[in-house]
Amino acid sequence: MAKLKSSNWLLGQVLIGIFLALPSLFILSDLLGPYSETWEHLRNTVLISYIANSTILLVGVGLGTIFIGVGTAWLVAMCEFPGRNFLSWGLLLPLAMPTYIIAYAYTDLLDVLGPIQTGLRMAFDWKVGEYVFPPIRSIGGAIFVMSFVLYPYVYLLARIAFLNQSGSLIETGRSLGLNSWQCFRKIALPIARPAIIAGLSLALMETLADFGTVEYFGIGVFTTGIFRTWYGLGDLQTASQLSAMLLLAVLALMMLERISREKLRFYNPTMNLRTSRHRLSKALGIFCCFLGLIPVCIGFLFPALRLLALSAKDGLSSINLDFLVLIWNTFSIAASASVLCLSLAVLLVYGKRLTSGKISAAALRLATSGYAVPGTVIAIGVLMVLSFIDHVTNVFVSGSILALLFAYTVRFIAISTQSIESGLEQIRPNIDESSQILGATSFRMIRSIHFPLIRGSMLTASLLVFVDVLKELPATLILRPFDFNTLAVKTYELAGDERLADASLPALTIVMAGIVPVILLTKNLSKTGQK
Amino acid sequence: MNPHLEINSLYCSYGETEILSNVDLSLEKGEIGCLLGASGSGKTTLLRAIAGFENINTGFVALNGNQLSNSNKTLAPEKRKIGMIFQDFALFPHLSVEQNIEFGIRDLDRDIRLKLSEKMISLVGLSGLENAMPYQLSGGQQQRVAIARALVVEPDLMLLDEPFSNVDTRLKNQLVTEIRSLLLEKNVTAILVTHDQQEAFSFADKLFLIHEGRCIESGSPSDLYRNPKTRFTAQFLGEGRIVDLAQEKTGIPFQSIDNPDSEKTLVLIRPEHVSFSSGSGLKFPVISKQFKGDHTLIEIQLKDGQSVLCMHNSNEDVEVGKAIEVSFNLEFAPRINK
Repeated sequence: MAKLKSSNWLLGQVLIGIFLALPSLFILSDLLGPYSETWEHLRNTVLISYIANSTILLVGVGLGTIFIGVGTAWLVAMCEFPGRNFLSWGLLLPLAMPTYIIAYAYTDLLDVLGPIQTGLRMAFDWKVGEYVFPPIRSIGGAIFVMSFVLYPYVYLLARIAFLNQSGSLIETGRSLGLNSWQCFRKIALPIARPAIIAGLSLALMETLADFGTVEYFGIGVFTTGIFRTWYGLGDLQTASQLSAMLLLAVLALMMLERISREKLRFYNPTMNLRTSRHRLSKALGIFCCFLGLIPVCIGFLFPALRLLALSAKDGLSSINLDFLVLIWNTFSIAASASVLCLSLAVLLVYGKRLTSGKISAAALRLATSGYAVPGTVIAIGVLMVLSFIDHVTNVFVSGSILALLFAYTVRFIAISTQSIESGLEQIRPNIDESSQILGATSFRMIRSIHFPLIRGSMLTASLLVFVDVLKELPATLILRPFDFNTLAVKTYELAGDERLADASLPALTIVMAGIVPVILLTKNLSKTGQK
Repeated sequence: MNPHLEINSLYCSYGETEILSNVDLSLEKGEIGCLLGASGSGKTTLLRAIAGFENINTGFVALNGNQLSNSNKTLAPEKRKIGMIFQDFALFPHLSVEQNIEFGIRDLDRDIRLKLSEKMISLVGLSGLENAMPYQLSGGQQQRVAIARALVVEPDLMLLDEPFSNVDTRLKNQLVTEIRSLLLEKNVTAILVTHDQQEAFSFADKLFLIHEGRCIESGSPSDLYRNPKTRFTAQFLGEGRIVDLAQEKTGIPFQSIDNPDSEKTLVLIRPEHVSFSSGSGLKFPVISKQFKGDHTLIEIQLKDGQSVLCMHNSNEDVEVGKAIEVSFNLEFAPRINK
């Protein structure tokens, strides 16, 4: 009986795994051809610029995130100075800010008609065109905003790596003749390298996945190319082939991230963890506090305040029926996606625990393989899978809300499985065995023991997916049913129409929701003593 | 002539809390010392103050006659020529065995560096593992890399912070012997920090007993064991019970001590002072026993309720509650001031 049950479970897991991997598989299969005329046209015109722009973005954002992320991580982990406690979590705040929203906010702030340039013109009596001001709508501007939003990925992992380094390593370095700076360069930094590379890979995956910023700044990269090919030229196959190229780049980054995490195993913390931080002098401490505040201000505070100021201008009048419909649409689709992800994740993770075989582990991996795939790519993949289903069943699924839910599940189910897996890992197998010995059925064990113990993880998983769906732009833009808008899409549309003031309220709502995962993350770090 | 390492009237505190007070300590060149004390006694802080990782309030730390730390200055750790070995070995995980060992001599010519590291690798018995990474080594091998890395720079002083606490007993015994021999061979002055008496006895030439931030007593291990001057030392080192023989109620014959009327009637009775002796006429009940493998440690109750320990052959069983006949040889039992 038990065998039958677990085999049913396994079958379910495999089917879910395959179904959720279908979009990526469909896209990768398109690499084999055939290639249409549109592809030839793209190859002869914009493909090189897509590759060049993507490379420049990756290099720029890579350097930016390493510089900001590692620098701040080192300060917060190794030094004691005023404001360090605030910075340890405050530096994560830019995570709440979707890249496209910070791009809109900085465009508003720094563009020709924005308050900064207007202020400068008024103060110095300059005229437009008489002075040089770096244009925000440029690849440099994109590197600037992305670096200040994505550095927390590097910061988070680098800080944990620095905190977990044994204090005796540095002291050994000192006793072997190195000064503090040399200890950082020759010991702490190389040991933290795998963590830094893992964080960098995540930041670069986000860079490749970005659509809103590059589209708004008019930079031709793969995501914008895919969108235009599908939306403008209506060529799904070529869009898919472009997506496949992007997917290969993402897969390379995923490999890099995985290898780095593997390496981390060997760079394990020793038992002699750092107990004390280097206490800085008062002046140096204040200077470091100021340095640490720069990324918080640029990556979160300034754009958030700007959005707040723009929203406040219109006051409560912006909160009209349209806005409430928008909220309802967004929250209901986000809630549905989070329930769907949670249900499937519970099924997959429990299946893995029950069967603990290679197949169930592989099914779980397959199901969660979409976590790093850009939303644009997933959307094209989902369109291809659903078009096929439309064709076979004669039911128009690809234009329905189901397409969105499918895409969100492919993209975000990994968040749910990770949370639930980490919750279940806390329940040791001997707890299951004890309850079995005491006569509990599997159902009762799940209801009375597992559920109360993983309730927190389930709630966290739901919240994280909810917020990510709320922020998701490109997949929603491509797959949304006719006349269905979300906060992210509305913000994108209004910003695209240069109505930044009108875009500020939906944008601010997204940012406020984005703070939830930051709070959860901070709580989690405090719990594990990594603050 | 000045001792090689001299610590004089050293005080050290964290904020308002005094961690070390009035510590005096000295070691000659090539001598191996040991800071022995319970957890939280201040021994690691003292070691870190010697290394330069802690500032001191008053007093001084001098090496080779040069003051390294005093109330006005703390020479940076990297300028002290002091080697350190830690409990967690502190091997750099991103460097191979050879690179770890060469780390402290990186400024030398490559040929000299290679020669020195090869010599050291062979000395610590790690030939063939030059390119291995730390995670590929066993605990004992890691510890050998750590000692090689510290020794290759020819330090003026070697500090060992509980280096044997994470290895099993068999390996510990082996490493204690090996590392002591290496230090003696290289004539390196060293200080070991530990809370393990057996480790301290086998490793050190001179013990410094640290308690509540003070050096309570110092001397050779045998001296401190045989003739402790303080009650704390008597109780801390080895097994034994302090028994007051001034009253006649213990059941131990008075003639066993020199002068029963003097102030020194507190006697440290160690297990080796009490032996099984049928026909001695001194019968005491057994109140507990601990099987130790090669012997059994038996606690017997004296007539007035005090107790002493004695060793017994572990092949013979002794029942708790039953009386046994013993004799006392208190001629060399240390007298403790009241």
